[in-house]
Amino acid sequence: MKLTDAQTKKLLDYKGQPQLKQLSLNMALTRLKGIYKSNPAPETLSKCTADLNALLEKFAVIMQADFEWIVSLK
Amino acid sequence: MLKSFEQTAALIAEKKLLHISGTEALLRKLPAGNWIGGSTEYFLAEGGGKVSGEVLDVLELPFAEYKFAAYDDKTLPDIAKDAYDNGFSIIILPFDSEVHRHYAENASGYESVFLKNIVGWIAGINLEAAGQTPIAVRGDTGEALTDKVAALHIGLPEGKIAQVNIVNIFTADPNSPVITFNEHGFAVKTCFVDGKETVLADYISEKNLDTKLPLVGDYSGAGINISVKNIENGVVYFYAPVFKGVEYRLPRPIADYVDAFHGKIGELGDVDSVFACNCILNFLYGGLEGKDLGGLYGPVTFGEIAWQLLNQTLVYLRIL
Repeated sequence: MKLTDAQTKKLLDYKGQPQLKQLSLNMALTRLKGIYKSNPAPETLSKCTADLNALLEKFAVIMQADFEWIVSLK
Repeated sequence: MLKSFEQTAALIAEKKLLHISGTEALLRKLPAGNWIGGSTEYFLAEGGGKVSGEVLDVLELPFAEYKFAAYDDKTLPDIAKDAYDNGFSIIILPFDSEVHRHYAENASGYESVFLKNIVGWIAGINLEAAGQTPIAVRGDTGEALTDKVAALHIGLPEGKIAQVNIVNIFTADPNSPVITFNEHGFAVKTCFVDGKETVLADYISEKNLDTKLPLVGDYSGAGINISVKNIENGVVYFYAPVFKGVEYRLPRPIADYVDAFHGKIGELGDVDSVFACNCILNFLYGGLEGKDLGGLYGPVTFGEIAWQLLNQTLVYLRIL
């Protein structure tokens, strides 16, 4: 259950309403969007990916649906 | 569950691990022991909402691994690092203290904060009584804190996981303008309404907006409320900070708070929460005294914490 940088970028750039079920992911994503917007460099994107993967991995039991929604983004 | 002072003291004497809310005077008289506490005289309990300085809301926490801590504004950023890797933390902050402001403005940036489960609340007073001070209590030392955060970190056994969630009866009105801010803070003069710089106090006055309704911030699909405290000399003061980069909208009005909570709590099914708290503004604006919400009982608070500081929200935590 790991995101790639490309999947993270799709999530960070997503303009609609994310269909996430876990509040911690909503909040973390909001913070990461702010960080990436202020410095949209590849290193920042990789750091965002690492942060999201740490969250998804630790709470895999309750974040499976959120992970599947993220990887379904076109 | 609401208990008398004597019943609560007896549970402390039995060395139970407890979360206690109640009036400042009673909390200060309780013996030291395995408990964390905070001041409020408002409770949501089975049988209905209650205002009392005579009872305490006592939550027994059936966990074997735990540690107490206190934090000031310099050590607060360590709070997530100190939490158990698998567990949760309950934190209580005195209303209008420096740690209240610091946590509210900075918590989302604390190292590893979203990798831990942090819930809690802002301790308050009886709004009708003079001479009270909001306190958080670290029961293991008996310290009543007016300028520090009291924390109880709890570790969970392997195979168990904590899940934090909220019940927000407010939803953003899709026809609302988008309100944004250029900086974060509890006090705001100007904002942007659909991109146009506007004096927020004037906008509220011109549109005759109901300041009992929160602004609903869009946190990547989750609605996070910020409530208006007061408006003075053209400045709008909030109970939690607004943030740059977050889009806020006006909410759909609520016809009946009790019905709204019954509906939302009912949708959750049988939620076996180990902790819950709800907002004083929901209690007051919704007329919840004497009304039973049907579950998720706990203290009525001056701000709720689910990682970040929230307003007009019910926060709960359960173990899966």
